[in-house]
Amino acid sequence: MTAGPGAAAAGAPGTLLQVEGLACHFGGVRAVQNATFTVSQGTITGLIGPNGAGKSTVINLISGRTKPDRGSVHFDGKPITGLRPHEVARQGIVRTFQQANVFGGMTVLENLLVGATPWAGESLLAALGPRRAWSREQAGLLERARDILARFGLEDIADDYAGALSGGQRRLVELMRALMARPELLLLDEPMAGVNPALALSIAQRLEELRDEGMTMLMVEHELRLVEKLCDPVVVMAAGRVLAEGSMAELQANQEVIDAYLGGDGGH
Amino acid sequence: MVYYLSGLAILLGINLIAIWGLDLHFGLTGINSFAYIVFQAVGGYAAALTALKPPAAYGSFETYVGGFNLPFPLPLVAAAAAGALIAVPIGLIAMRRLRADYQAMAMLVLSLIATGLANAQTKLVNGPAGLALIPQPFAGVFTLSRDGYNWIFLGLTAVCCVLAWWVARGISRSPYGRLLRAVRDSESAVSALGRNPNALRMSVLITGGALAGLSGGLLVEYVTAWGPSSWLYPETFLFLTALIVGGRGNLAGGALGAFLVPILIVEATRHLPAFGYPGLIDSLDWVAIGAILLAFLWFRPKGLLPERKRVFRPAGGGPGAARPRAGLAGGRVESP
Repeated sequence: MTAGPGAAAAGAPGTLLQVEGLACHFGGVRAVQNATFTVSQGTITGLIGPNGAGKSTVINLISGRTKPDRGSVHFDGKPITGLRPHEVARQGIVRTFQQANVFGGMTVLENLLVGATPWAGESLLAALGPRRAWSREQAGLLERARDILARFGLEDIADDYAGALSGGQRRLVELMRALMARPELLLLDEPMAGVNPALALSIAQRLEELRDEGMTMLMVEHELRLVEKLCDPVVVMAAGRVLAEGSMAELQANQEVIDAYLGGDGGH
Repeated sequence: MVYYLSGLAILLGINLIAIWGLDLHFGLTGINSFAYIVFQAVGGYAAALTALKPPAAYGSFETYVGGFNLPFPLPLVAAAAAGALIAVPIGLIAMRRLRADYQAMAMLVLSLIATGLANAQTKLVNGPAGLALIPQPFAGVFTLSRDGYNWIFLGLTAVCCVLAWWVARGISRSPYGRLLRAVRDSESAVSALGRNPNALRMSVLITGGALAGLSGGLLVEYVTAWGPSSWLYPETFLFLTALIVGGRGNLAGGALGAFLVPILIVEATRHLPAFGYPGLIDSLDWVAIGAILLAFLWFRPKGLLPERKRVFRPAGGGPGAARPRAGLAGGRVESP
């Protein structure tokens, strides 16, 4: 299943994620066909394309939620193809979901605490032992969680149930929770969908800051102005295939991409 | 009267242990543990088979495997261990598919199969007639009146309740318990954060199973008999109703439910003047329990004492101690 030495050798310096020949089908529908692209260290790589292009499926294939029929995924040179979702996450790849996926019956702070991993105190044995065994670690994580909340300007909702928040706030909680895990690669599936424009801009700023601090992201997004502002390079998919890969400026000059997705004016 | 009340207190304690165990499955982790009575049943049989002498000692009036005549407290230890062990096959079968409706149905079917098995295999646990003459703890050690022995047994039950409380509380306040609640809310998010939801579910199925097994062991040692008709699948729903009425995810809620449903409702109707044909009141018990379950699911799904919101002290307010605050009816905001 793992690709041969060719794939590893193809990983140019700075390549964090390498997707090669990925394919998967649902019934008779070929959702993804022969998808090949790379994500370089320290970039926000965009993944765009019309509805049904297979973008979310690619995210699911990388994160282990869907098993590929063919192809391979390498992360930091190691094969992660076919690993289960929690195993992929342990490699340092944390994802968010198209529908904000928070722990609704828990407070925002609790959501963030679950994000932190690995935790010495989260075993059954630790639960039955004295609280001292985990309270110090928890205090440190709480501090980190409060720092992240402050950075997003959301200290006020720390003790609110995540299920009671607005859609946009839930997306932020999901993002903050992912940050608690200190991922090397963040997979964002439409992080700005359903978020008001002001909040979307503020999310974009946070993402830029994170990139400047060295975090790598692969982001599915439909709002092309945000993609243009944030993402370089951008991967374009249509009908399950990767059409092109390059900067937004290059793509806007690519006739195939224009026909398939961008339309005449290069944006909406 | 004293005998009756102390007996009732013993039953309350036994139910309490079972309901706290169910709360770990259902309240905390969100597993539709519809085979829960099987954990209790297996614990009961384990206690019985380890406490009984070999069948020949009773003139082979009942047939069963085992009969090790072990002294107290080994039958109870065996009961808890058996409840934990049976969680493994039940979990492997019922949690093969992730969907909650599949899990619920598989659990229910397992409960029916277990009853069928116990009935059909007369050599295993004496078939439908069940086991009797099960020795009680300290039998022959003290020479006590019936009332006096009840007090001893009540003390033993209380010790077991404290143990169950300690386990359930330790889990519910710990980071492990927080992960279990996360599994309840969103399994996909838990796995995206690097934890295996199935392993977490299995671990809690085992722990809750041990508590159910312990409660079964105590019950069997108290009533000295155990048969398939003692643990039919509706008994699971008696515990579920107690938990939903009292409040899941809240130890005090489970305790309140343990008092209100199996003790107050089931016992109170025994004192009604007889009416109708024999057995009518018993049947109406189940009708009442079903109606209460539905009423609570409609009008107060979080129960009388809902799960409390966990609020952390502000930074610098101590070494990170999580002090659950009793919010207004379980929190300022209701989650959908």
